[in-house]
Amino acid sequence: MAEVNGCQLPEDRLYYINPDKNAFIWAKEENGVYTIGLTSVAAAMAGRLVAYTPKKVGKAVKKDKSVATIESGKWVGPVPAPFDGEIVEVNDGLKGNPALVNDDPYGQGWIAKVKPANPDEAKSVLVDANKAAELLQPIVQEKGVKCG
Amino acid sequence: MNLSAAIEELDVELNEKLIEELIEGFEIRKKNFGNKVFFYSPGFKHYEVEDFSVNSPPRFVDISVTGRNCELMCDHCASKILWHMIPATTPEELIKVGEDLKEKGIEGVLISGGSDKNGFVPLWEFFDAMKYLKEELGFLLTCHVGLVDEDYVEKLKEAKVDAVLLDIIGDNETISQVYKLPHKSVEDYDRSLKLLKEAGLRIVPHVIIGLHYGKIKGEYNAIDMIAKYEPDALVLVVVMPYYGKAKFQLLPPPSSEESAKVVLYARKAVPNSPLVIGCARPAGADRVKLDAYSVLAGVNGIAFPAEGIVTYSKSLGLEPVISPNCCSTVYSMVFQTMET
Repeated sequence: MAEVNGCQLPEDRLYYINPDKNAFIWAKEENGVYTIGLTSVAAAMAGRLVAYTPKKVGKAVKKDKSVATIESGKWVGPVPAPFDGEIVEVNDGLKGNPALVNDDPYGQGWIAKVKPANPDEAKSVLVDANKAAELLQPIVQEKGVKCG
Repeated sequence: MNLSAAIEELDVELNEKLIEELIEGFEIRKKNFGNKVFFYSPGFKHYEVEDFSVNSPPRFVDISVTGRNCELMCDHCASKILWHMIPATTPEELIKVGEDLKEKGIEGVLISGGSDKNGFVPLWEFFDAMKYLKEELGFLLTCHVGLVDEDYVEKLKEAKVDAVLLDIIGDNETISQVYKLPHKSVEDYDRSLKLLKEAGLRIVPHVIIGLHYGKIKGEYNAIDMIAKYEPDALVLVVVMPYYGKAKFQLLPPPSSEESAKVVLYARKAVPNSPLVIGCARPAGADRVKLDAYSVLAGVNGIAFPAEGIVTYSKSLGLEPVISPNCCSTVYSMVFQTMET
């Protein structure tokens, strides 16, 4: 398991890291659909979530545009799509308990399932856990992010 | 305006009958204030939705003279509102914090803090430091008080504060049970408004919708009380259950529709005072609905507008103005922009 400042990055999935867009996302593909969620780094930066407002299922999203809005006491912002695609499922479990994103970011706290418009293009923007850790290192240092 | 198209874009279901009622508020605001509508993003929170974000560094911040401490620990808040504030628990510290903030380009501060057991925010020893922040550092200086007496009001005046913010409660049971002030009453809040107004201070009262464990109880009475004193602005907020103690967390806040009716009532009660929806209110789809209703009910501004609300306001023919300030400063912007 890759790790950055105590924040774990499982190696069974890929990552989209783009600090300019506040994108610190994981993505895991199954049958052509990517489940996406916040990395533990992003969850720690946001703080304990109090609201999750997903876009509607069936909506087409552009890369870096919001698939859901999340809210904590100190942070409200979008969860950016890693690639162009269509939202095929949202996590209804988060509506009643948005803090699952903090408690289980890589499991029950997933944000949305997105079918990429162009699967090859989707793969090209995603990196593995070790590369993600490298890209996240300066961010966690600058912002003083710690997990655990 | 194409109302139904604007609502459709928001992707929430609004009550059509209520919308018809709210339009009366919209007409009041157009007649008395024109088309400008103000959207605020004060500096204590990162706020970014598709059609609204403020990318400039914070210009207005909150300071707590009690740190995170509050002797009342009311059921709806339990001091959590203080947690994001910059602590400055001695006058010397307040001056130092003020000087540091000035260097960082901050232009305005809210001096706040927890309450004592009599419902006062303990500002007594800070008034000279506050005056320094106003006169020497040139801050826009607002302060959050609870109840006040003559001496306290005199000191506020001497400190030359720009505006005084205070929560007004219109029900004795709420004061006793939620605020833990059984020895205080609605009359004490009325008297505080009277003293502040008579002293010539700008008053920006706040009413918390759903304060009685999520139920509407004293809100209409509070608004009536406030209306008598022609406030410089009125701020409405809604309880957020996840902020409160366990009892609050288990109870839902008022529906967006119930809250919207309070907003309309306020618009009609203070037709010539700026009316804004403050930072605190439930998140998610409820926020979208409340904000959409509130724009129709004729509010002058909203802090941290829900996604789509700025666009929706434009569709209704309004002209959004974005500000990094606290929404309580709306009194200065509304009339300034009407003159230009």
